[in-house]
Amino acid sequence: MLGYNWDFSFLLAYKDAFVSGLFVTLYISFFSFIAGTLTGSLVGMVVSSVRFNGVFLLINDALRAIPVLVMIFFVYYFPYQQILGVPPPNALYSSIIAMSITQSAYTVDLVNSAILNVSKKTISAAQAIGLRDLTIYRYIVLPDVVRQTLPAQMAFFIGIVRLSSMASVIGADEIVFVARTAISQNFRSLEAWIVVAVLYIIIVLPLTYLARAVERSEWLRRRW
Amino acid sequence: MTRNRNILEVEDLSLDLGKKRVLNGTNLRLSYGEVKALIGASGCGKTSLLKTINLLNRPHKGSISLNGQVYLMDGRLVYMPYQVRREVGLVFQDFNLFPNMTCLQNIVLSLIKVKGLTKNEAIKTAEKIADDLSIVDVLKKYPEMLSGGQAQRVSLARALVLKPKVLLLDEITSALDVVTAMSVVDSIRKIKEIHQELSIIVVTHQLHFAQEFSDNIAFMADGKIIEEYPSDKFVESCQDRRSKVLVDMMRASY
Repeated sequence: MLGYNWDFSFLLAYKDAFVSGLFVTLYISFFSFIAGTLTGSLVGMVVSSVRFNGVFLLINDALRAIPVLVMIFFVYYFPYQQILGVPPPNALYSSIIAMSITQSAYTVDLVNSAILNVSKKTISAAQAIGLRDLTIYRYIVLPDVVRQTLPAQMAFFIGIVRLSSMASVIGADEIVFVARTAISQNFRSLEAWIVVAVLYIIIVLPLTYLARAVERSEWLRRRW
Repeated sequence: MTRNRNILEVEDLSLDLGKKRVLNGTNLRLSYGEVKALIGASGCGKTSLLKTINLLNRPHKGSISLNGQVYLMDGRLVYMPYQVRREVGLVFQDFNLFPNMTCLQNIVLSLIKVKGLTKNEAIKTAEKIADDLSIVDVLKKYPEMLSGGQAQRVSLARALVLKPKVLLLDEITSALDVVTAMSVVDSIRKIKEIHQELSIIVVTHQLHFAQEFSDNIAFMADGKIIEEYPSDKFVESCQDRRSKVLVDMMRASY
């Protein structure tokens, strides 16, 4: 076709590597997302309840400004042994830590503003019937915060799946890393990247449709 | 329980919201089983007074006692707000139902969390009150699916289910059309017939509602109650120029 000599056959040798790369991609994405969202939510709840939180939010905004790639390098090359006295994490865990930090910074911001955005009237109504603060938090505030933040969080997760490709630069053997290995050993590039693209489409497309379904759901609209 | 003692006594209550003096030395007495209507121009402090009695506002001066027990002494809390609020129910103009819960869940939440009832006991109690207020068929629905009248009745049920001694109703028919408003008023009448000992303060802009529903009408201006008369005599008895003007306007709008 148009003079290009297509040849996907060399990739067959990397079939198992691609499959395990796919799992590494999902592993990095899933755990960075869970760890980042949990930490970020807890920090966000604390930050929103502290009166003078300007400095926290400034640090958080600074963290959000750092590109994921830079964060990965920073976490990977941090002198753990010299400063903390612990052995350095491998490439896989370094990328999970780095991406968790970024995800958690986004979550802090999201959760903080969502909490401030919960209808004051609804909270007054809950107080007026004698509910205590923790009960109000659990039954009124948190369900509303989940509804407010879920669409953005799903978009973040899809973003993380794609950004996990950055982990290849420090040698975490996810999909892109496998492709780069295959390319360097065979001197053919295009076919490998096509396979990578297709794999990402297979992961991301269902997530996109899931996100859209959630966004359209009645459940999500149960807030004032 | 003596009839001549007051269920609720408010003394010299003052409240600032921001730089504005909203309540300015308000006094109020509510006797057992009394229904008192609170009228007054917008911004005169009616809603603030109800919210302050429910401790949603924190006054800087004044005392409030319920059933002879002081819960606010010279602007200081004697009990935790949540302990007071279960005895003093407040229903809002715009319902403020919890949007993430069904109507039944809206009603039972406080029974379970405040009164410590089991889920089954709470549901039974809620169903009884829902029957009194004719909202049994909406219990499984979410607030977004209700009409204004239904939502306000669910909101009433949510407050009544705790069996408060005093019920504060803040313009509960203002967001409703005339017919729906009347049906909500009928529901409250029915509740009042069932629970004769329940004392009610109702803020309203509708004179006929105040006259028909309440025992006494109190006129409020500039953050305090200016005058109060039995409902059937208020129109001819009121002395204050501002309350006469308000009464004329209310009659004209009706």
